[in-house]
Amino acid sequence: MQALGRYVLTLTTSAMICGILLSLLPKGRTRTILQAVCGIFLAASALSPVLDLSIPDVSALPSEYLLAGEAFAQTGEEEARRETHQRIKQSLEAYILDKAEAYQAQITADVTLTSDGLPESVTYTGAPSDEIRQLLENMVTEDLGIPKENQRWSG
Amino acid sequence: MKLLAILLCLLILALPASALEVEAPTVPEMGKQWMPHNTQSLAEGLLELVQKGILSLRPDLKEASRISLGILAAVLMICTVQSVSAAVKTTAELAGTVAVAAMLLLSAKSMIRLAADTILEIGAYGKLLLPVMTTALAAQGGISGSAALYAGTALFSSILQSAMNHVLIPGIYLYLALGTGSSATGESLLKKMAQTLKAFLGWLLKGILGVFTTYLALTGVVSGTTDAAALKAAKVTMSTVIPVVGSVLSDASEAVLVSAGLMKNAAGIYGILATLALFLHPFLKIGMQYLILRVTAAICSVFGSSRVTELVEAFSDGLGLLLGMTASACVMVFISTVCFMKGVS
Repeated sequence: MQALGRYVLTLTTSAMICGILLSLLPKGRTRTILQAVCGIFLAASALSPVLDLSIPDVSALPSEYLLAGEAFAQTGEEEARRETHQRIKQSLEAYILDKAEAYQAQITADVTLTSDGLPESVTYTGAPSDEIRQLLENMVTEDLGIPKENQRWSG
Repeated sequence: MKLLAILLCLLILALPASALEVEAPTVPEMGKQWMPHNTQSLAEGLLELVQKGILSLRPDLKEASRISLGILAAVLMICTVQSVSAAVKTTAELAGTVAVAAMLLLSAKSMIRLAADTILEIGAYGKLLLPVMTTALAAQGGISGSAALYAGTALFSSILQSAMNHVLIPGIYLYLALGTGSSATGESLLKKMAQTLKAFLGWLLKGILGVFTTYLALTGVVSGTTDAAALKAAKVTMSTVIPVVGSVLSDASEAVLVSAGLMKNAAGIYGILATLALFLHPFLKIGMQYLILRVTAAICSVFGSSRVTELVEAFSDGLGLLLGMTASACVMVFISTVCFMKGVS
């Protein structure tokens, strides 16, 4: 604010001095020359703060922000993938349990997925009869595409 | 089999979105009192904000009227002195102009500070909101679009912030000084320089905003198409796998996309309302001052004091630039949030 006050004062004083000088001189060549000099002087006084302006370098910013944007987008993508995999896993396990219930077998199933979200293997917990085990394994191979060698029983 | 697939779909849709949580950052302290109670509905929130904004204007109106009355009193004094003695006409006008300038500079300084603080707050809030919206849009499938939107918005916000600190605010001070100098001395060169500076500052603001909106429009079209194609390709891939698994995959992915979209829109609405809560009161306060100065300038011109009229007009133009600057910062957050909310078409 002080700098601004000083600037206004300098500018106003310069303008007043120029005005007084010009009003003292009669119309003629000298006045025209002085008018031009006053104009340059006033313009220089008015524009002097412009010289102090510093424009920051923003050339590095686009790549920095693009990298940050990609990192945030990757986080979102990973979170969505994790969420989708969780839902797929729960749905597949619910599907297997539903089928097992239809065979009157009391089991639990733990499905693992590939990085693409496709079913990879399943671990059953429970002790149904061999016939029901066969039925379940066949169904899981046919419906979910999990080969028999990737189906394990525990408990 | 069909019934089972339907049951599976229902099960997937009923699952809570546990891993994917998208929430807009809480409104900063400055905007807390203006934040509407209902942040779920944009229309209701906007209405409440506008009501609060209008009701809060009374003290600002009083303050602006006080300044206006002060200026009018100074103009009346100048006119009275000039009518008593023609010899002191120039001195009276110069002294009066300087007195009015001192009055206006004090008020302009607080308005410039208010605008700068508001832009800083909006920028800081935007920096918190942008990553949230980027993550949410990426979760919804707009991976390349979200990164490009983030980069563009963050870059242009930084440019605006830099322009504000290094060019716009010093430029407004310079404009006010040139306006004061030209009014006090009647120097036409200073007046022309002030007009050029005003045009330059206005052009700078419009330029930044214009390039920003063009960038967003282009990004929306290019990245949106890429993301939409990627999503479609993923859906086609899912349908080619074993029927039951394909249906599970497709439903799970759809459910995540829907829940991410819902959370993103809720965060977007909250973000827009929070930005408005930060912006509205300062904008209305500066706008009120601007309008009152315009009216004051019109009344001053009736009294025939052309120098004071020019001075008041210069200050109101300065406030107009401040309004444009504040609105630009807010509009940037608005447009980018709406682009994020639009998502993948």
